[in-house]
Amino acid sequence: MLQPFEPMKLGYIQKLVKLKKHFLVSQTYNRYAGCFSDEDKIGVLFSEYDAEGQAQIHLNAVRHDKYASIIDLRKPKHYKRIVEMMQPRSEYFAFWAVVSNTADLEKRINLTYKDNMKAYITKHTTWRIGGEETIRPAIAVIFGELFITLKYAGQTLKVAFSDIEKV
Amino acid sequence: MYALVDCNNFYCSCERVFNPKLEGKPVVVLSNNDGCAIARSEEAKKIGIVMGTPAYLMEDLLKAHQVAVFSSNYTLYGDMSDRVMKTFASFVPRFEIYSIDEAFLDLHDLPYHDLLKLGTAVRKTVQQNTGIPVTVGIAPTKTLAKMANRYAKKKHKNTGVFWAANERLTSEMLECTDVGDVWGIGHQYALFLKRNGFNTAADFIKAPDEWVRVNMSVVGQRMLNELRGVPSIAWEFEATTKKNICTSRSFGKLLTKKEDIQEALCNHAAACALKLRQQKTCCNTVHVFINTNPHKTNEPQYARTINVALQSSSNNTSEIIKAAIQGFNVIFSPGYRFMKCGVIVMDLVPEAQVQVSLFDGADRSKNKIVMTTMDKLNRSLGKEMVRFAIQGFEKKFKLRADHLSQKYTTDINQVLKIKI
Repeated sequence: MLQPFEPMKLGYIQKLVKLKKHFLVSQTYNRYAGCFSDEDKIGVLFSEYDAEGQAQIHLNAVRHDKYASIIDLRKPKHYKRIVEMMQPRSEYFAFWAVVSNTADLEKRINLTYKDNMKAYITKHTTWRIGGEETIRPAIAVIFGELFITLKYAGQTLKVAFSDIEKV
Repeated sequence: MYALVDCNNFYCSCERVFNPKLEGKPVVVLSNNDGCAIARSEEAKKIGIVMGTPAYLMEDLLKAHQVAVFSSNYTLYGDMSDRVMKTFASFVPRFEIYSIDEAFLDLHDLPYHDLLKLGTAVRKTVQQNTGIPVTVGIAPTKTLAKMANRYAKKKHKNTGVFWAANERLTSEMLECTDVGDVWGIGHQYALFLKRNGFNTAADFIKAPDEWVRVNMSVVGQRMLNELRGVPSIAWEFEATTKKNICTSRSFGKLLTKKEDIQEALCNHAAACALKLRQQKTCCNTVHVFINTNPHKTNEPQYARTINVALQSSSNNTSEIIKAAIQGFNVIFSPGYRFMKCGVIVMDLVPEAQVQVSLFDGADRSKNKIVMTTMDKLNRSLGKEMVRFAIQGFEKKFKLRADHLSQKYTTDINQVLKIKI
């Protein structure tokens, strides 16, 4: 399973505060499986926002998630809690919904999931891509979920990355 | 991706922008002639004012709750709508104006992925620039975007943005939407679908394609595709040319005199001619109608229509007025109290493809210059500044508008004055 996101660090939190991105939305995250030895921990993904309204929309979108909440970094209680979550002995693995190197990730996806993408396109679209044509997938993170955007002949297909993996 | 941005209770919101005292209070806007409720603020909805209720039936309710009542002020609403649309233009390269208070934004090929930020930014900026609150629905098709907007209004009122970003969110929205509330499904289709066990939009998307095609034609199939996330409704960035143009109004009070009704009719004919010129078409037939008030059953009733064929296709005001009067003289009958008259121009042809009549005595090129000059003057000096004498000035037919607000944005004499 591909794990594209950056593990959350205290330094990142401090930077977010400096950038006035005070709102974090948390949600369950399972893509770290196989990345760490301590698999009993709970994966939590954080997405950052500078406006509470946007954080609220994200929260609405994941509201059925057990770990969905808005963390306001201006509130000492919230700040303390998130710092605790990043301690080595904490029961959580914290990730930040950002990709450190998009080009690198796209390259990795191309290499590893090329056949999956081909199979997905054949199964779900009517696109007839010629042998010399190339489709460059782009990645996007929407409400903490990784999506792949495929474009061909003026058409755009946005697919959850988990669907590509499943093929 | 498509976004449908819709202004909340648009007419009421326009009134509130220039009258902030109304914030948090019930507001109702009435239709032409102060007939019935056509826009309600959230507070007015809460006290039980139903859309379309005649004003005289809710007088007690309006008084009891101190509801602010307004006659419709289309000059103000049109101008505010224009400002809202101009704000959209600063976010996306292309958008389709769907009605006075809503537009579809084209989110394809935008340089950024975060449509959530875009949605909230549109909402914030429109509110900041115009004072009008809007709701944003984002989805992969027009029908789903329309549904997302409705869903945002119902379930996510506090944020005002709903983005059907993944399958789960789309399913959630489809499950919450009654099949009758799907854009494009009318009353009859809703009844038919419910009879066949499709109660929600989520049920409908499971319908077999063949069944939908047979029972609901290709239009139903297109709707189904849209609900499944396959865009099937084309963009209409430019307004389509109209096939008929109708101008008609109920009179502010019942009229009996022929001259008064004729004056109204001439004004309607002139308005039709102007619209024809604006869309660069000419008409071949002028349809005229008059009628009494069908609800006044104790009074004698009369309703007539007539078609007058033009000798040659035209968009010249004088010719269309002449044809309208010709028809009116045939159908008018004295002794009745008339409520309404109107003009419909039909059989439209593009201005450039007019078939000239061999027996046409009019000097078309000269007439065209007259019309172009008249339109230019009216554009720069004000509506109907130059008009035909027969259109009159008395306007006894004028709409009743006892609660009309000012033209705050379009008349220099009516702009708000602020004491500092």
